[in-house]
Amino acid sequence: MIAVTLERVHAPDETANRPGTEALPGSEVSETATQPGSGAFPGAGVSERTGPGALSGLEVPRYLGSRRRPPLLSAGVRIGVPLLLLIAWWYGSSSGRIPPDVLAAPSSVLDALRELAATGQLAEYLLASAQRAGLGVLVGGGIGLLLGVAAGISALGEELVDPTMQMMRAVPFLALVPLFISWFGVGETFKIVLIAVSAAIPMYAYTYLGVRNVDRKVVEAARGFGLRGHRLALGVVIPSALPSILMALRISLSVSLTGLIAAEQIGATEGIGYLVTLAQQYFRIDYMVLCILIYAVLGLVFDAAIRLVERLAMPWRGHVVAR
Amino acid sequence: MRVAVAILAISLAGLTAACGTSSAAGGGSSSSGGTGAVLKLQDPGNAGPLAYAKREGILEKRLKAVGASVEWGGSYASFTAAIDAVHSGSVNVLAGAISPAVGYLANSPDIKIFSVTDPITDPAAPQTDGLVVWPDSPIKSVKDLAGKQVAVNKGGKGEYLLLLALEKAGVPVDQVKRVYLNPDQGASAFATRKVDAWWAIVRAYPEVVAKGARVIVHGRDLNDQDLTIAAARDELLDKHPEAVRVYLDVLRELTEEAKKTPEKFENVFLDQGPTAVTGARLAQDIATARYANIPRYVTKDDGVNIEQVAGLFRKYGVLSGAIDPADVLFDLKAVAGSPSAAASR
Repeated sequence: MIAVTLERVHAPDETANRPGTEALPGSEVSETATQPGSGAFPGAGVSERTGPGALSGLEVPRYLGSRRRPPLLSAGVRIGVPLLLLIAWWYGSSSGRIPPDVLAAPSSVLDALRELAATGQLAEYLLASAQRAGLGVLVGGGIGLLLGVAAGISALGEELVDPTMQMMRAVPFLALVPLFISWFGVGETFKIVLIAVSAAIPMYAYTYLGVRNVDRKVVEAARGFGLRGHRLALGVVIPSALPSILMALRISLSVSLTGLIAAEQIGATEGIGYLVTLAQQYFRIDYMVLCILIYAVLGLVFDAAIRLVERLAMPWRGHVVAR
Repeated sequence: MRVAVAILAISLAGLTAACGTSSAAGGGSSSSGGTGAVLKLQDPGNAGPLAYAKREGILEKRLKAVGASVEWGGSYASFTAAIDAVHSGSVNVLAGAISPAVGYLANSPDIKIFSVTDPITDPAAPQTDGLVVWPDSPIKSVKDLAGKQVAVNKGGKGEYLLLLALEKAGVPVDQVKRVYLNPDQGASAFATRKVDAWWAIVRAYPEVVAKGARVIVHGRDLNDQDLTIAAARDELLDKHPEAVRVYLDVLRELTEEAKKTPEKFENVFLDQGPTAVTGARLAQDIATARYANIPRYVTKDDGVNIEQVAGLFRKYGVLSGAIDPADVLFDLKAVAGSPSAAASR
């Protein structure tokens, strides 16, 4: 077999001109790919060997590399759109184009923020919600991760877990609120369970997807070294599926905010979801807008945190991704 | 691998923390040894007799004398919002009005009304509700409501008063479209003119009047029998009427005090933030508190009020079942009249 592939490599005209037809037939593909120098794109290897002049219509590929955009420009563009929105809001309110009962002015929202910070409620509320959301995402995300890996790795796992999870996925978790209240009461347990359920489902779906997309060759190679069971899962499968898992974490965290609003409407005395309820109850539009801003900032914080984790946990990724 | 171990360790730590906090904050599930009664109340907010009682620990002190205790729970916007908590037993004493209470009782007869507050009749007292329209609205009287959309809170005071007003004006109820919205939703629907009129109640009413709304009719202009009530779960009333009595006593005393010095009962916990009231809102609240009536024990005569509210709701399909007043009223005065009688039970 190897002899055949080597021959093909040395017959560049054929391979280069019709890469599609040659790359297709079955088992030969992997072997071709593993040959040093042949590369995933036959053309790359060819041009290096024979020189660009030998073949018409081919060129040396552009080096993608890890070019970085100028940080200042990047940051400027990044904050540009939110900044424009802020300016439009500020201008609209101060010129009287936006009536205060439709959207509170930035100044009154700032006052509300100052008030909330001065009474210590802001920190208290954020802490209470962070605790609930953190625990919920930890428990729910953990369960989703376990089930996703199980369903992704083993056929039996998939048969056992996937149908139920797909059913769960179709159930809006807000529909479970009355049921959960009768099971868990209206205390902390209810709130954490609700958030856990809301977080488990996206975590499962993305982990499953990520694990299914793990390179078979890598898994086979690891098996060849004798990795089995949890060592295979922790050492190879989960790191390979990490991009999907971190995406799942992003979504789970955002969904947990929805869960927080639903959970803290019932029987809470603190929390940012409770703040929404309070603002509605007391007809304070400034606080309603403040809540939206808090959520927006939390979205940024979550994103930044996950980006940091991505950079730390997947240092190789910068050299693999297209951009 | 190390990362995985770290994650595992963190999650385990988190789980133990979860158990810690849920038992501390949830507390409601652990009744105090089963010997004494536990009054489970909703969060009283930042104003009123109960907020004051919570801050000063008055209920705790007074209930201790009868071997009972109090547990302050979460916050609920209204009686209707608290229904799930009452079902699950997380709240066992709560205040409200007859209208939402009959709605609850029609489905689950596990609470009883033990106290009512007579309606305010003093014409000098500030109004607390009203059917509002915008000043440029063609609606000048209740009769003009035919063919219009009116926002009311479902099965609550707003819907009750609207039905009552329509009946009095001789407008067929099916000619007016009732749009069911909670007070906060009603406020935005009315502000953006998605509904033609709105029966604004409680806190929403002074807000919308301050924004320039015109009032067509007040609840006080009608034969409003939808009294303010206090209710408790059956098991609490049956086993520990003396504890409920202490609650009512404290509420009565503090309401009396709040009539004299209403300022003391505003902004009880915080004078800043969303729950704090200032300026015109504070003045309004103080004026209302001055005219408040004192809650009293229910008597047999209160059955008439319940019958009237439930009957009106039943007539127009808001309620499906009938309510027998005898089943839902609890004569606390007779049962817990003397402390010794209560103790012997």
